[in-house]
Amino acid sequence: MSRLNPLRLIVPTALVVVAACQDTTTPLAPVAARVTPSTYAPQQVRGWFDLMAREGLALPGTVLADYDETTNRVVVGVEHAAAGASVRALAVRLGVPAEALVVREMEPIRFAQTLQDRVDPRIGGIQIHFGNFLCSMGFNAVDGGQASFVTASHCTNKQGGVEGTVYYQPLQSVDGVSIGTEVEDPPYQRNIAGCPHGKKCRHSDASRAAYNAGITSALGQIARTDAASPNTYSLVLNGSISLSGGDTRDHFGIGETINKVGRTTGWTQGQVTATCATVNVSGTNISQICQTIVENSVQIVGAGDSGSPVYTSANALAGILWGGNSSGTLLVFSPLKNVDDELGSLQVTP
Amino acid sequence: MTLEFTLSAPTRSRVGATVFVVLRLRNPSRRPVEAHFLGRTIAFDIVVARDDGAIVWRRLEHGVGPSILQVRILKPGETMQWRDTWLPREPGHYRVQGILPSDAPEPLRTPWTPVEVSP
Repeated sequence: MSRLNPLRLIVPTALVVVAACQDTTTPLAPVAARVTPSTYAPQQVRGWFDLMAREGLALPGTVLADYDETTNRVVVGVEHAAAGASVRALAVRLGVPAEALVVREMEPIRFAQTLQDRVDPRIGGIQIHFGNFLCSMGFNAVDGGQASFVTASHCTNKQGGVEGTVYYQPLQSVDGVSIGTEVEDPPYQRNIAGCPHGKKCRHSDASRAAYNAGITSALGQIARTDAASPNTYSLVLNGSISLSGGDTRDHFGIGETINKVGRTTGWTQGQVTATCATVNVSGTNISQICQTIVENSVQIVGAGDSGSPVYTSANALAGILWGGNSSGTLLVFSPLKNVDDELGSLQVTP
Repeated sequence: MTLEFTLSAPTRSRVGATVFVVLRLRNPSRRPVEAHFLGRTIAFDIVVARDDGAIVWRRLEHGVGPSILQVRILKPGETMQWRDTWLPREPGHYRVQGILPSDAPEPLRTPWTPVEVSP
């Protein structure tokens, strides 16, 4: 670090030191170009820095404090002018000369929040946890007035059947308050139309959980990453995508571009290579009827992406991702139509 | 991750004789280690290749499985184990590798183990 001594950089504990340390020259570089070093003894200015760091960063709206060796001044970063005024008033009370103090307005420093972090309000594509497993939240939905989210049926304690699976976000160890409880997960059945001999079948690998009281969610919103293009695997959250509605097809066009966002591989994209296919689930006696297969030459699905929302190029919700091949170049999703048929008609946008 | 991932297989076999392959994941440290796996039933892959690199058998080649992530804590010294078999159809020099997919960008892989198959 050329100008900002990391050992002297102090930011409020609620903020992120890493982000502050990485942003070294941009906020402070102009000061060096314009300001001549103060005439106070460096040791005295360091003492003032200690005072301002201890007392000043307790004030609302402060971002960081630094002793700038180049200008021999105390630098205090603030979010807005009101905080700056408070810092200057404090400096007067502590006997810090105005000539030895620089107050700079700057953006607050925040966590680089990812799909695997706590996200509030809850949106599609973020990590959920139950038992010893991690999945992705599919999408928020209202069913009979009940605020809910949909994820994969196998992202419950038992695939098919309601056992009251309790969900946490992102992990129980991070936030011990559960966000919701499984309320709907139809059983798998033999001998239904289209079900192969010896198999148990459904038309969707989807379940619904009701949000617990006090848990906030954003209907119609799924996570947007900071990636400028798909298949970069960035997990950094950058707001959300507003769904344009629900795509109620169960047959998708071969070659059609399909997107998904999930906690493991982020925003990925591929092309439909099979539509309304009956798919055997490896290692089980389960078959999923009328599923859509999407492929790419690069990885588009990984462990933990189960439950991810799948959406079209027009941002219409298309379904729920539940599986993939071992190399991750092929994903399978249950069309929203099938999810609606099995879970009841869901309201997915405001 | 400080886990050891190894593969055991006979160094010699015959055409038509079943080759038993065992994968072992061990925590050699003195501390518990968190491990991530693909699937409710943990998915593991075994790849058999000729000396020239051509793959002749892959356990998970055509399967489609749930993309759920399983989290397990391996106690100090604990070992997890998976088994499957391969049936050689032609004599030759082969190599066998075990693979454990997870949410990491690259799966865990064992070193290649040679298997000599005689007629």
